[in-house]
Amino acid sequence: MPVFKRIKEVLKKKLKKEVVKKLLKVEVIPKATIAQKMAELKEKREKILLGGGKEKIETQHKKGKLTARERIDLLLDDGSFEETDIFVEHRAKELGMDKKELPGEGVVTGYGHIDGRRVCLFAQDFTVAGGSLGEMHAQKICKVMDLAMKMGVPLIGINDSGGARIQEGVDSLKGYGDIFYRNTIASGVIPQISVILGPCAGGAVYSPAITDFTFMVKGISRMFITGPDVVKTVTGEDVSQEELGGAMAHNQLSGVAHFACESEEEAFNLLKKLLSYIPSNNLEEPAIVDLGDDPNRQDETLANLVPTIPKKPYNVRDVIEKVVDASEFFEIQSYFAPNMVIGFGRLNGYSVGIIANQPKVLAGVLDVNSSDKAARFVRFCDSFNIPLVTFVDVPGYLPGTDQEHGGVIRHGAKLLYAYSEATVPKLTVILRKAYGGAYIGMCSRHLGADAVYAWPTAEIAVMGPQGAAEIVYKKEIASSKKPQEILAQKVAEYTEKFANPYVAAHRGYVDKVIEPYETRPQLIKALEMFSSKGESRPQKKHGNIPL
Amino acid sequence: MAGFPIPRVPIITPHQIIVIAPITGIIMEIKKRVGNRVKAGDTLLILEAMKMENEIVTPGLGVVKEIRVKKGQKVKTGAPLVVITPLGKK
Repeated sequence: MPVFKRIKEVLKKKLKKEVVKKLLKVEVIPKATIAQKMAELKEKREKILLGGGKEKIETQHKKGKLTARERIDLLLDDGSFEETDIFVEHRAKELGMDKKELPGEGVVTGYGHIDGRRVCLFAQDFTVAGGSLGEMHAQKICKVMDLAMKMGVPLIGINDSGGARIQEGVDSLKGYGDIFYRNTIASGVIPQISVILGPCAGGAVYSPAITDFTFMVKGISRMFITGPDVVKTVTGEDVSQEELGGAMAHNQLSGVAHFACESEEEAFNLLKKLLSYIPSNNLEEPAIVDLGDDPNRQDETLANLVPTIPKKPYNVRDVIEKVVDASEFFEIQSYFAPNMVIGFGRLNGYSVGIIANQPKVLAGVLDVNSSDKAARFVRFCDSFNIPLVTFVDVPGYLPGTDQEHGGVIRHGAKLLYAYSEATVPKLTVILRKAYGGAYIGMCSRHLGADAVYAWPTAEIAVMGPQGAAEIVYKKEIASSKKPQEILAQKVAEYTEKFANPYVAAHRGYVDKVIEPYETRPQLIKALEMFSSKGESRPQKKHGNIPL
Repeated sequence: MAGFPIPRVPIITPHQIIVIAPITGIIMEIKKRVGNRVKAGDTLLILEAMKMENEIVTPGLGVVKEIRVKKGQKVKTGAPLVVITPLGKK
């Protein structure tokens, strides 16, 4: 102010009074104008909040889909949503874009709370230009991704988009690239979850592909690189959108998605449940949730679950449910490679990642898909400080040309790699069969398991009795007059001698042979013991997992 | 030489469900007959593979229209085993 005063003095001396008055006159804004400006803001906001307008919203509803804002309302805690970049507009000029107004740029972005925990999210708005992704649309998404990384909170992406905004050309591609890059940098730092609630086609699929978990809803979600029309032109195949890239196609066949839901609400509820098992970033531990289950609870019925006859199948989920807190097992990718079961559970309130062979499906073999599925899950858990509990009942790797040529060597190696690399507490329970390479692969002591327990029904050996006897006593059997009898005798001998947990236990590969009902208290004790586990690896940029 | 991937899940169309062999093995037992009504999860047959008596179940409600295998028969992954005429949804 003193400066102004001095100027005033000088001016007063030099200029005529009228001129001074004119120069120093403070213009009073009439009240009516402020009201106008407020009205203008309100109008702009309301327009943007409506997205593509009432008609487009109706069309969206007719397709059985919610709008971007309705989805955010459903997912986040009431009133917690804080929107970012509401006024962002595109700046494209070509192909008539200079005349196009796209409220909100076709995506709603911001942050809020889920069960009191902070998350960042974006929801593409199909009512605005089909949710197409242009330069500024992508920029809005990138801003919340950067925020999520800075704050160390999960990122949730709700995808409902026709694809690239063609009018914006290479700027649109840049947008995708910027998103993929951030997805990659954020991988293993914050959990990233994709919810596909509409089309997600072309390059767009690669953002969900990089994220940790993908939800799809039957009938409305579609993911493909090229749609049915292009498929028809190129290969002549007639295939519907649902068959090509619907929820079940990706949950059952490709393994791209992790959850197939009946409705959007179900997807959001499952997402919330999933979040409860995982921490907000790689420096935090998952929350401890007391479900009121006694850590010393011993379930006698466990003993009868696993048939002693190795040929008889059973459902390994029953075993898992009897061991974890309150029988709550949150299965992931239940439709894909069901010969391997993965998911989250709790032991004395602590979140654990569970991996188990499923003897009920394909005899519980390891194959291309089941190795892939388990390996990725192991790496997720290791990234986010979630201990691993592995239940083993595996006859081996699946033989056959389709497996060999499909790269079972390369894919199977992922599982070994992921387990070896993991530094979180690793606990293993061998229920029944643990043969050969598959025994090693299922988090054996040799891959760094911290504790290995075996049930008395366990058979830990280089191979099954039949195969072993046929190979070891090949000559003897061939030269015998009664080959079948000799074989049966040798099989019995082998079974007696090797098909048990004690050979491995004698060598310390198995820490303890336990009765099935001891499993829960034993695992909880071990988990407590290893909670302070620290294991370091040599400094490196990153390993080279066989992809 | 087999292509990859070979289908391991039932082929479901509005008119029929084709239950296929998810794994190469031997048919040990056939539990249903043509004309039997089956619901999701019912065991159709036992397929021994990888030293396990794998239960092959029906994915949905329907009536057994055709059984394409016999007891003791060797089947390859992807081979059609049972054809079911679906009843209603799922």
